[in-house]
Amino acid sequence: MQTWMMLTNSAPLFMMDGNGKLPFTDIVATTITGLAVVFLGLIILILFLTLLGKIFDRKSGSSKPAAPSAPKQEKTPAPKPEPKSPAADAGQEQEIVAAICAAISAIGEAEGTTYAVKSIRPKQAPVRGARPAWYMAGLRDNTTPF
Amino acid sequence: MVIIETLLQTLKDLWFESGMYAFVTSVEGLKSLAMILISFVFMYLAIKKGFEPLLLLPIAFGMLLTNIPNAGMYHPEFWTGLNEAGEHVGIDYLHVMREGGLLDILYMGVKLQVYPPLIFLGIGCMTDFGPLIANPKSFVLGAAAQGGIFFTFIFAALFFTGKEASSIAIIGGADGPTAIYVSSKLLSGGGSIDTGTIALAAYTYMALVPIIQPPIMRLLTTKQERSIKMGQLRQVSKTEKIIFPIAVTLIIGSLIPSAAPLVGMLMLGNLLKESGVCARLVDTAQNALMNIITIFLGISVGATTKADKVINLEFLLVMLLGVAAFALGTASGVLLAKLMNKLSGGKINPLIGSAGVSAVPMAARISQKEGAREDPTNFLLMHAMGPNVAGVIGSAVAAGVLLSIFG
Repeated sequence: MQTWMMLTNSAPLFMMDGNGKLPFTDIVATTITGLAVVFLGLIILILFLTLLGKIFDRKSGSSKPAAPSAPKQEKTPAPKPEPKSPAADAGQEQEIVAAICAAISAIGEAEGTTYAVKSIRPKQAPVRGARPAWYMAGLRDNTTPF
Repeated sequence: MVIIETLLQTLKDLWFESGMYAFVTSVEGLKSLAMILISFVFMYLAIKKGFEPLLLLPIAFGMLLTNIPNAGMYHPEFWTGLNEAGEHVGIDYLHVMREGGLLDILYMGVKLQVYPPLIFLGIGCMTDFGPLIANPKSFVLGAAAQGGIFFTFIFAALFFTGKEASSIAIIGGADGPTAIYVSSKLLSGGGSIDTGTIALAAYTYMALVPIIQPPIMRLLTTKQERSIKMGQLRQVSKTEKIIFPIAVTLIIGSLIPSAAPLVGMLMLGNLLKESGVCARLVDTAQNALMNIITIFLGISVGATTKADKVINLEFLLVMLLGVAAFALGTASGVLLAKLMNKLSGGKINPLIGSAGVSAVPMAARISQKEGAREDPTNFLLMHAMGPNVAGVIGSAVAAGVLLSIFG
């Protein structure tokens, strides 16, 4: 009953006079309370962020465009990429697409054939969690100075 | 003849008023001279050794200015909140503004807790919370490293009062503005230590993080654990990055209101950055404003390092407890990361635990460096940035807890 009354009272439960030296029990109580409150606060944030992450994962999962078809080689002369291909729309990387097309065309011209790029899609990493070679190169570039 | 007499009298008066006279004729003067020599040591550390120069240099110069006898730039007696009869009446800011010297006026920003939150605003503009949002479990490591604060509190409270012990313990947060925020609120300047003492210890050890942390990290981990490679972090959307600062402010602000000024300003800075529509404000907050506040903060905190606050046994004890706080914070983070590694079946490299002490981005760089030392193809930097920025929030929360208990 006394504990309940203490908890319902709005007066601060745990307020110490810090102007003097503290008894050992107060020192330990402060340490435990401090750590507990820090963990509590940050665990609430973990729960919130995990929930937020799940919501956004589901959202981005449902709005993903259908998987583009595998790139095909065509012998018909059509050097320009499809302007409305899903990959180009999603990535908004028209310049990169143009550069890739130019490189392929250059190789094709040398061989005497022409190619058309119908779709571009990211290469899946062979192992889950492994990083693609370009990602690794960029990472190494950025972290080597440290 | 009269002219010569007047000239001599003036020269005599000038000599008696001068710092030179005070230096050689009293014990206090000699102590002040010793403090000026100590300020040279800190200037050397800042300029030559690159120890947190942006703050340590203004602090060391503030130390030099405040210890020049009779310069009247800073008056410790204004800040005790005691009247002539020794009764506690609170600080008379009107009196400070009327009678105070330059450093007294600047110190008002520290005492009124204005500068540290403004520095946090700039830090928020420069921080990317993406790695933390991508891996929220990092918050646990950010919380564990705050063990440095609370375990040090146990030792500090054996020698000091509760308020002093809290101010010393917060050094373990490895976050200068937070340490200044807590100590300026809890310490009245009447005791043996003051805000300047705490700031000196905090910034010296923050510069020494690359020396303090690695041996502890190596001692507590095995070669196999240090070689663990962690999976790629998920992509974080812009909307998540915008929601994050608002949510953290609401959650932490309503849970621990005394942490709201620090966390709130940190998150405002981050929101300005992530919103992408306040480029001008972000530029001012992280450059001009932050630089101005850094100068004001450094020089006025340095002003509190009067001889009686540094040339004593307590200062030595603060320095010892400070290094213990950093070591304990590092150890707590690494040990919890080891536990998380065991629970996750070997997916977490325990080296990222040490980054939970704030010291952004230094502590994360050390995790990266130690990981790469074992295996050059291991990249822990982004994984360590999660606990690192979580540590900033964690130490602000710890500060709020200490203030709500002793404030």
